Amino acid sequence: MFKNLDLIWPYLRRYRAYMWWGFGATAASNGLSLLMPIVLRSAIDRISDHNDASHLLTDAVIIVGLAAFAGLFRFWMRRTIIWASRKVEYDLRADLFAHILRLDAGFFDRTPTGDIVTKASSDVEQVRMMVGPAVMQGMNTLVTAAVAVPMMVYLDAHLALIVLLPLPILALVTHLIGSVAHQRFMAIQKRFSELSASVQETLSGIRAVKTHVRESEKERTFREDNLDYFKLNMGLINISAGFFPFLGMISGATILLVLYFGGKGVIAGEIGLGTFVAFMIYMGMLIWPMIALGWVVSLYQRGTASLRRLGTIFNTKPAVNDPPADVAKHLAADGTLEMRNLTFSYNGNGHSALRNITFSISPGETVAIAGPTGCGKSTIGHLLWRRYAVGDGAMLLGGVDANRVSVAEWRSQIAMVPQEPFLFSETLRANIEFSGHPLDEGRLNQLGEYAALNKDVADFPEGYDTIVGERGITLSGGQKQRATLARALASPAGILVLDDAFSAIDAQTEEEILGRLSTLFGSRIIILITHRISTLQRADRVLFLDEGRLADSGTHNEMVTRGGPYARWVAREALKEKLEEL
Amino acid sequence: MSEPFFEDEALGKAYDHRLMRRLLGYLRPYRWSAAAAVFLLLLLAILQVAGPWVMAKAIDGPVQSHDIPGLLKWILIYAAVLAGTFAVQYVQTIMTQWIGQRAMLDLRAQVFNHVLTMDMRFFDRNPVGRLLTRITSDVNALNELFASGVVTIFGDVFTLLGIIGAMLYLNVKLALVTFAVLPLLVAATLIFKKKVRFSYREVRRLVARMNSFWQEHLTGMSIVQGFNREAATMAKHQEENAELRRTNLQSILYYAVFFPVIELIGAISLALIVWYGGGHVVAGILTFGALTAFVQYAERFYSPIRDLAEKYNILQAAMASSERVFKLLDTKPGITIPAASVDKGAKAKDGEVVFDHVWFAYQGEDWVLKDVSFTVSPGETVALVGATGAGKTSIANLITRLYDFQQGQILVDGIDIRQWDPHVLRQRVGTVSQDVFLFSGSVADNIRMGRDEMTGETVAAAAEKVGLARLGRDQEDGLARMVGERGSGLSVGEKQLVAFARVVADDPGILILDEATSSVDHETEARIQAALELLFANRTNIVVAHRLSTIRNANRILVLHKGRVREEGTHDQLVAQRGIYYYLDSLQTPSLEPESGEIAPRMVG
Ligand SMILES: Nc1ncnc2c1ncn2[C@@H]1O[C@H](COP(=O)(O)OP(=O)(O)O)[C@@H](O)[C@H]1O
Ligand SMILES: Nc1ncnc2c1ncn2[C@@H]1O[C@H](COP(=O)(O)OP(=O)(O)O)[C@@H](O)[C@H]1O
Ligand SMILES: [Mg+2]
Ligand SMILES: [Mg+2]
Repeated sequence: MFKNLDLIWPYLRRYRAYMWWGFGATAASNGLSLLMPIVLRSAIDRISDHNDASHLLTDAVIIVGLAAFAGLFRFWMRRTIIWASRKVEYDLRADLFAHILRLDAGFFDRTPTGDIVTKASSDVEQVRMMVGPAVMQGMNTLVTAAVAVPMMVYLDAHLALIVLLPLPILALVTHLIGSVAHQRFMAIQKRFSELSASVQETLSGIRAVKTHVRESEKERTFREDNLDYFKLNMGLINISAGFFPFLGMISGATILLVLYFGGKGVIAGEIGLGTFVAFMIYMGMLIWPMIALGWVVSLYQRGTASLRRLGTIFNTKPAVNDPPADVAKHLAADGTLEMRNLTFSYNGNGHSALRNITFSISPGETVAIAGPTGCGKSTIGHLLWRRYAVGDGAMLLGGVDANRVSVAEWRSQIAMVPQEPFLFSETLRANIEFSGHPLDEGRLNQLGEYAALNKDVADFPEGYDTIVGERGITLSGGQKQRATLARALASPAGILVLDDAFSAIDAQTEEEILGRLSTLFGSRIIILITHRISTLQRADRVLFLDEGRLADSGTHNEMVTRGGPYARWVAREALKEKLEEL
Repeated sequence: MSEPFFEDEALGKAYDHRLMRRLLGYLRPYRWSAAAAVFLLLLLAILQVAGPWVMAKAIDGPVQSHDIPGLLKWILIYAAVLAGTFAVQYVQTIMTQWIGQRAMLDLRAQVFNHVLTMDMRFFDRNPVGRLLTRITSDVNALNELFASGVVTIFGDVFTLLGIIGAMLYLNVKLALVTFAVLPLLVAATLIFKKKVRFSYREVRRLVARMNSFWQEHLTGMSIVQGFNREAATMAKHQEENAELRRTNLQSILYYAVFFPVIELIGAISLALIVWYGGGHVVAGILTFGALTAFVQYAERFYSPIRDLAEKYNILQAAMASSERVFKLLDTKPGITIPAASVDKGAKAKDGEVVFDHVWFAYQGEDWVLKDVSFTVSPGETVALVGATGAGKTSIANLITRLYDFQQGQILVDGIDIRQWDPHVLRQRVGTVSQDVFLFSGSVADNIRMGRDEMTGETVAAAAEKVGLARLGRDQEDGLARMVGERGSGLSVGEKQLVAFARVVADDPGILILDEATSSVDHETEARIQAALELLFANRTNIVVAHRLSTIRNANRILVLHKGRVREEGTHDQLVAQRGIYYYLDSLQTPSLEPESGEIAPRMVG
């Protein structure tokens, strides 16, 4: 388990040179800025005590010069520290993504996508605020206080003591109000998500609302929720509205102290008017860093909370791993695919999606897997793809256990057309080339032909270079399925798995595609998950699953003649198909 | 998901007069408060100018004339100014924020209520997520405008004017010399604003892209991993990531230059005051106190000018949000209450439902119902049977006027449904939907569905009637049972019973029951059957039936196939026909054992 800050150290260490430069620049810049009141003091003292205006131009030039150099260093301060924080953000996000790429499907089942996206955006941003602006302001406060306070003590120790007293109050107030405000803010956020959730519920159930004529009731509850949200907001406003005015008053009060005690000092002749004004300016310079200090503390707290949340992802170990190098084996070409006594459950407890599955498929065979919805067909596909770790039992290819082969090598043998077709919002070409084997025009057309895609593509504005999905044209279900098929065919893998890949394609086209596939796939294995009877008939063998068990297997005709669970299931499917034709 | 996302990112014009006027309309109910807030801002500007002024008086008077009691007097005045500033600023902030929150409250309620009046086609077109964004986030973006934008602009302008006036009053020449830096200040701010605005947009665009990259690749993670494309995907991620970093680093540059430049300009004005003003003091034209006041006034220039630049961003975001919100508000519902809803006189036809050559499509010419005609007589129970997608639910949708059909006529109680007030129609025609939607809350809440005037007895009686009063093996109080989001925690059968109870409590004259397809256990099945008989009594019933037992309860069966009424009759008549119903019936029958040997080979062979 990472302690909160452990996660961030390596990143800070990587950019420590920036941090040191930033620290140097902060010190230099503040040092120079803090010289300015001294110059001003001597100018004023000369004016008020000696009525001497001869040095004024020099003083003015010095003031501008100091500010120019201070500005230069201030530029460097941002340029280094904030710069480093953006680099940390970049690295952290990259590492997070790299880590997530290694995680198994179980993690994605457990973790809503929205949560992960939030972590990648807002939590990473919070951490950046902590290592960037918070560090910068923290350094700034430190340096300003470290220089200004001794300076003021040097000018007049007694006056310094009196007027500096209220300053820590500023940091304290900022932090206190900051925490209360943050709490109220979180409460508002919570109420806001409740409000959203309730609106979402109403809108999702709009049909029920309308058919039961409950619009006015929903309006009323919404009005109440909305009012409640308003009240919480006002609760925050009531304290936050006082925040800056209050800080203004406190800082004004410190000036007041200077005015009173400094003024008395001037009257008593103890200090010069110049010193008095210099004090005034130093006070002005200290106020903002003090306020910032309270802010820094809050940023630090939020940053560590975000680090904790990021830690939960970084601490998740992938369940599907490569074997240790010394026991790793390689796959030979054209092996037999086997499952032996394989039992699998998604969440480890209770319900098993697959129970005691044993089968073996030789190279060149086309095997169909059939069964009612939820019987575990897709689960077999997931395991073949090694999306989940194989639990009890074994999965072998050419006699080699899956757990003894590197994940990438195993996956390179499986070309999958998943049940839910997913395409990235890129060009069709990029999607088909996704397996990483670039295709020339001829090959692309050939694959398009196999997948019965070319005719559709001819109608697309830019053919295979048309962008699909969210940022491009929307494909129909059948087009998507055929595109994912083409993508799988582009891979030279030895095993092709089609998980209900023709559900949105008519039987005629399916026939054609399958006919072409069998010529293409001489010695390779084809696994067809389907419930179409013509497809089942075409397969060399059918594995029939029921509630996770292999309930029957054999050729279609054999099993139908024999009677039994498969025959009964086929009869129902046949009825459904028949009905479609009426 | 990213279509609305990108749409949301599109930043429109920064200022649109028409939109602004409409937005300001929401302030009308609070115009007196707004006027008071503006008045307070004026007061605040005066107080802000007063601070340095008092200080100058103190320095010129008591400090230089060595008058300690006099100093104390000015100290007290200064303290009063401080306290006054605090109080005015505090009250003013609360007031402006209050106005903003109130305006939002009103706008949000208006948007929500408007959405509720929209018809189902609208909801088909607009995903819940997008509507949610309009009601929540977009309205919140407008809040920024009201709370920190509109009114405080006055404050900034007042303060600037006050400072300029005070400086001119103190010493015209020195004031003009000090103003010499103003063009620099304004120019620097404008350039910065322009640069930052561009990179701010660019950053927002890239952040949105990064989020959709994550969203997309997390959704497609199985494809990435399954095709061994982790390295390639990582490389793509890093391209986006680097682009974002580059833009961010660039905007750091702007800030890193801007802040020191502003400080430098401040130092220049200070230097000018010291050089020019110092000379005046020596020459006796300017008092020392006035010089200090100048220094402080010069410092107070910057924040209003910088604020004004910042408000530009707020304004821009708010304009984009308001554009989307108003577009939604301007969308008219497709189904409205007719101007003169007909008073139904023909009592004889009470409870009758007639479809007369109805054609209906959800989209364009994709006819879902084709030339459907049938009549359900008062008190009759008619079963609608058909395969999935045949159009059964669509028929239910039309009767309750969730959708409008394209051709033909539908009569309820002998009156064209387009002449009914839809709300009255839906009270007359009760519905149990196919997938029962339950809201989070208790079972009793779900029966009542917000209708507070419904008495506890009515709810309890309804629950009792459908057998919901006692739930589960331990006979717990069914009404108190809590239901989670989307009805989680209840079985399919129990959900159906809750929906029955809703209808019983509402007691409509015509009932449409769209039966759930999912099978339920035997015990629940028995309870549902018992409840159904009670439900059907004394009403006209149209039942989308899946269970054989329900079908047998019906007086008549209509067989719907691919959008047409294809067969009609009683169960026995239809089975004898050996048509569509016969196949449907065979599919429903759990055991096909005796027939399968005969049918299956023939059909597949
Ligand atoms: N990601 C998952 N997490 C938990 N349970 C799952 C998951 N995917 C599938 N299941 C369950 O495993 C069983 C088998 O599912 P699946 O293999 O998808 O069935 P099929 O593809 O045959 O329809 C079902 O009971 C299903 O609810
Ligand atoms: N909101 C909708 N928008 C577009 N098409 C729809 C919508 N609802 C249903 N459909 C389509 O209309 C047809 C009939 O659907 P439906 O009436 O729900 O059938 P049934 O209830 O008989 O299963 C189906 O093809 C379905 O896909
Ligand atoms: Mg499946
Ligand atoms: Mg339906």
